[in-house]
Amino acid sequence: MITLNNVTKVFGDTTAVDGISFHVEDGELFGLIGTSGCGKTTTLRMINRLIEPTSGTISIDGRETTAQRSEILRRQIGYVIQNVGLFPHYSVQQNIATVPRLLNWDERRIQSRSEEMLQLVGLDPNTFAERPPASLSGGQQQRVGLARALAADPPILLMDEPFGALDPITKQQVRSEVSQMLKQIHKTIVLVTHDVFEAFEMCDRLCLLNRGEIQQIGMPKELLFQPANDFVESFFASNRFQVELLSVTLADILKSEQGKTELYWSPPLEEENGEEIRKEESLYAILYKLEKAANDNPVIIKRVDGQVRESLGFSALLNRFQQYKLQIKSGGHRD
Amino acid sequence: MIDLWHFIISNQGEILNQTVQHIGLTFISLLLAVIIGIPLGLLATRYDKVSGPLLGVVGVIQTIPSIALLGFMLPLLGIGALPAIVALFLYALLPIVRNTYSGINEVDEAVIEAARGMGMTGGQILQKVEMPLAMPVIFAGIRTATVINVGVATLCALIGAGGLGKFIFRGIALNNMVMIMAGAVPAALLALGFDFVLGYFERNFSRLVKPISYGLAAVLVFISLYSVSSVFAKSEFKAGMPPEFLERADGYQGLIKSYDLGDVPTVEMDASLMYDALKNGKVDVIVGYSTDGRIKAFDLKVLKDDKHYFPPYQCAPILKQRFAETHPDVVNAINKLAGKIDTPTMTALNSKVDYDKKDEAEVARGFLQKQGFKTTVDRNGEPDMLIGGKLQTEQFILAHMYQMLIENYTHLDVGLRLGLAGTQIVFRALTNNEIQMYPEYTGTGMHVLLDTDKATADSLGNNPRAVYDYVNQGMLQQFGIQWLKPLGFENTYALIMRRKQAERLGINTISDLVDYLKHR
Repeated sequence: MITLNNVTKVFGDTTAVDGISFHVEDGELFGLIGTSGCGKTTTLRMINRLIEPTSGTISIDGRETTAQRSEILRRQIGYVIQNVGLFPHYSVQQNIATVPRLLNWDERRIQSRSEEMLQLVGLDPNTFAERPPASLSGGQQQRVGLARALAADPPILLMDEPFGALDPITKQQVRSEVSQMLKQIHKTIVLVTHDVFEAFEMCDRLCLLNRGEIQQIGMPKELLFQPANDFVESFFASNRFQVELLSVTLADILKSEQGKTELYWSPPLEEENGEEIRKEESLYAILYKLEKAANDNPVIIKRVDGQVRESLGFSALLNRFQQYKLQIKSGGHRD
Repeated sequence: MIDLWHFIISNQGEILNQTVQHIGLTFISLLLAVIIGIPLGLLATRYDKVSGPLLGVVGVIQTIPSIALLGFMLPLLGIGALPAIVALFLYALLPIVRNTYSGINEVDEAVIEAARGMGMTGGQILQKVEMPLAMPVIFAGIRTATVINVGVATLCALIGAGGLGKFIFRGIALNNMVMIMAGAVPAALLALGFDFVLGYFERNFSRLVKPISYGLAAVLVFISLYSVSSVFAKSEFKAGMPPEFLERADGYQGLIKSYDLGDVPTVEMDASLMYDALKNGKVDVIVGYSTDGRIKAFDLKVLKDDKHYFPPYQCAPILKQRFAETHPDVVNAINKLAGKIDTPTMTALNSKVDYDKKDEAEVARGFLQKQGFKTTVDRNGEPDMLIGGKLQTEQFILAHMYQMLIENYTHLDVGLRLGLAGTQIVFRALTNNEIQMYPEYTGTGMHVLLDTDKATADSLGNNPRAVYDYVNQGMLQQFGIQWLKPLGFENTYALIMRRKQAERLGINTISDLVDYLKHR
């Protein structure tokens, strides 16, 4: 667990971070969002002491980060940055081996761990291990950067705009793969991004900063539907509809039923056995699937205890989404 | 080419010796510059306040002309290897400091950020990330410094540090191409060789760094110390001599023979730096010119040439006979000065320039005005004739006097080409019509220009009148060059000591000096 307690950072006459406090739970993916200059990167870099706070304390698992030398601390925290920063004079394998080497692992362990990491990020060790970073594409470099950050199996991973330098298509692809991968490895992750979609797609909880101060901390949909102030409300205004769809899951809009609810998506209406759909998927992802379907009227079929109860198309899903929103705004019960 | 080959074969011992000295000077200074320059460059990358002034200072040092820098070294460090190494070190500093600075600064910020973020210490970042990435740039700086140093090291011959410059400067003084080549070719090969070795070293840096660097360094340090130690070696009594004197027929070898002079430790050095070296006690006797103004200014003593070894060096203007015939008015104007300047007068005029720091033209004008001549110089357009001159102060003063006389007593416009280094260079300019006249010395005419054999020279008995007639006849026949009337003073080569030391040791003549050296 990472705890920031009343942390302030002053550069010259500007206060970059102003008395912020929050907890990041173990295994959580915690997003720091906000416009440029809001203090999110400064906050991240104070966690691994690349920047020392002017005042306040930061602790990890109850131990203050200043209790050990900053280099020792950083070797236990994975760090991924926008420009990757691979060492151009090292091979991919040597890059990944950096922190294990600093920790004096033995050569065989380093070797096998590097291969394991390359496989984890979806790069074939036989093809990539000995290549120089310059010969890799941007997406591949970012994967190697991630492999390098995870090589010594740190419990915490800090990511600063990790996909910021990628082109939109690569970004989408790398992001979804990385999201999947991060869910498997169970790390405590702090992610800095200015990309609202990225934040909503990846994060369990968000912390919205403005001018060095916390505006609101909560689950993505809390920030959307129960904004703490005008700034929070206006921050999402320009792409509100899209992020709303991202933040709401199928489970949110379907009334809970007694018994076992199963959902299938089924392009041909008649067919009863389509692909099963997880209730945790966002409405955005569901609509995206429906939109891609080949037939005129794709639907989702809801079965309870094996009995078909409903078939839901675009309009039905959007209707329920609308009802759900009204319910939340009126402060009513939601589930 | 064949001449060069013969020269190299017959002088191989000296060439080898000079090459080793040259390598020694270059390598030691380079090693110092690397050892000090790289940390300085790193310092500049770490402290912004340091970088500006530091790069400024090393940059300014680089702009000081090399011979001037050697001149600055003289009063501080004297002559020999030490000031040469310091000067070379200073020259090598800029490329190494600057390239270290920019090499480190050019390392991608993101890479440094990543290295820190992964928990590398400052030292580890420097060693594992910054230095390897900056290495190509730093090496480029070292290679630049090496090539500069091999070149500048040739100049170090002028302050008695040895090296391949010895041949080059003697060659220039005597207009001996073969001798120049014998110094220049090995120097160029050295530069290429150093560059090649460093290039190889750079390409295989990671592999070679440990085994070879120690070995190579040890070997080179050994060679360097060995070769330079011979120059460092202090002796009680040292002589300083200009390169030209060491090679001339009427120079060093003859002096040794005539006076039965034993082997005096001799430092070869630039004629203009020699007097300072004597004054500062870096050498004890020099071979200088008897009219030099610094003799008076520095309280030096000219030893009497009691065996009349040095021929008379009467000063007189020389020009082409054809030119004299077609320009009788010029000859008249020039001859106005004939017999007007005796040796004490010339020494006093030189001293005004060398010691009182007066302008040569002003000194010339002052003298002419006292003699009642007109001195206005109103130059416009292209000159009708050019007057040449060697490096000695009096040549400058005399050239200005002649310019004033010709401008005022003929209708010609006169330009000047002064400070030409070496007799052969000025004389060749005269025969090629690049200049029309310059002041020459009869002794030089006899030994250098006419290459007179010893028997003939002896037969003239060092009689000034006889020598003058001989060179005038000889040069008319051989070159069509005519000597005009002597000015009245003689500027012979002379052995010069500090007056106080000479008096303390009771040395008045060259024979006294020889005695002293034998019974020391």
